[in-house]
Amino acid sequence: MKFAARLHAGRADQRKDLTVDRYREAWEKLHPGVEAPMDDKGCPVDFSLDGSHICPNNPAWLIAWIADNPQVSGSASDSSGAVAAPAIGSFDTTGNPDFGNTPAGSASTDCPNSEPQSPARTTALTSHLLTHGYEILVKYPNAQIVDFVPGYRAYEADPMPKPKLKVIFILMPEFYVKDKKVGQSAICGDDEIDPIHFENINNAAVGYISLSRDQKEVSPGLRRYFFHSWVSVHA
Amino acid sequence: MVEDKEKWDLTYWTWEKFRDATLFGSDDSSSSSFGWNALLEADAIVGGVNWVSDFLCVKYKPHNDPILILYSSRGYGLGVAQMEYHFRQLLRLRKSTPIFPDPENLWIGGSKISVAELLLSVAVATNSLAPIVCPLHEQPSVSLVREVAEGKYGYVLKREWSGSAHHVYAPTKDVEGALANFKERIQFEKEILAEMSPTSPFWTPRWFKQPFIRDLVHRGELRSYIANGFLIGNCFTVPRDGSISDLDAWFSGRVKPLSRLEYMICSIGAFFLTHEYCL
Repeated sequence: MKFAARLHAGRADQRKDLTVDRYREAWEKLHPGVEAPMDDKGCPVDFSLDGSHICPNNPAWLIAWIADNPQVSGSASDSSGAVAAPAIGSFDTTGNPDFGNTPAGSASTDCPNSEPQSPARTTALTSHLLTHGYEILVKYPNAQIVDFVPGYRAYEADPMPKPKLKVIFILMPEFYVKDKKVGQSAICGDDEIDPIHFENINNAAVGYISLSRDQKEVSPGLRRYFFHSWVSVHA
Repeated sequence: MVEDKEKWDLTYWTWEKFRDATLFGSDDSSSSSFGWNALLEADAIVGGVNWVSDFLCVKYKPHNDPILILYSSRGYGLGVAQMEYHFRQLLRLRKSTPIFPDPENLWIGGSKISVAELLLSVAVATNSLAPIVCPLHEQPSVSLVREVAEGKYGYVLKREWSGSAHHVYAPTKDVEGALANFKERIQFEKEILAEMSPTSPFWTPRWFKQPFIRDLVHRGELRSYIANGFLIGNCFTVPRDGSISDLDAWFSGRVKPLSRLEYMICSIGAFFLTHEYCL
């Protein structure tokens, strides 16, 4: 994924060959004798965008669970491609702690003048996570945690008329779009939205949204813009 | 969400308007600013200061990374005391109005040590892996940084809140450069701490050690965020020209529709449910 990310992010410069070589080398280690998959642009296939790909580093319990739940491979009858994951408390972990990649002399016991902090603050969180499972919808391009904001689902399902939800959306300076492109920062995203939203944001503050030069393959009535990447205004 | 005009009343505010509304807010609605009262009456607030990063780095010089300056209180147009007050106001505000991402969760999630503590406790509970993190009692000395830079120990020194690898000291050929950088950062830190109030909601950033993984310098690092065993996002960073203080970063994945607030995933949520794997 990292090699694909590097090249797909527009880094196909003079280092491309080196990157591809490293990718092939890494692939050969993971899959001896299997040719490294490349896309039609000559870049490594980005498995992070492929819901059917199973990471070879997945823990054994997850691989077994996926084998028992074939719909997770993307062939679900549900048109959304969604499937519920097991609750956190049902993990069947069998692996032993193995910190790997640890250079000589830097093991956890080599910590002079150090003292691990008390995890008191995080203990409550851990307990919560171990006793509360979250339903996960596995769907492209992002898996989603259901009911991460408690109560919203009930609010939406309630047929009774209710006032609109007033939301104030803060435009932050670090999301300012420079030179009509994202630039070196990855904190601005791009998406196709209705031009009316460009007007709304631009009326609030100039420079926080910008029309992309690339308008290919954009849905009818929409245009592609760079803007704030916390969340999208596109429904 | 803006398409669904029956459910949502969306208003865009500039940071300056939001900042001033919090700074001029009070418990007495009659004397508070119109902006503060509007915040109290809203159903939700989305966005705000990036508390994950080195948000107090007001003393950095202009030639430093412009992105980091934007993250700092100088980029936000606030001094240290104002930043403290703004944060306190958000903690008050969230009692009546949900703020996404939650400022305190974002702040705690930005602490590398807090996240490591959480990952450790989860790993112990689930018999799985956790990164090695050894917090220090005190700020590292110049002599310790020198020894680390010379590769004597095989570990890396980091600060819990930082940005763009500005507080990372690892084995390097440029030992003197690393020392000069460290002395400059420490001086900035002292000046910031001197401006913090005795009752500041922020504590002095702690330093810690982590094993030095040489491959990260040359091949980069892939952070994959996995919830309940499913990949929900990843970030790839690679040092430019082998320098760990100069990183390129790419995020894969797409923006999340605000209309699906019930499904919202923030980085903190990911942290809470995350195991990190490096390919």
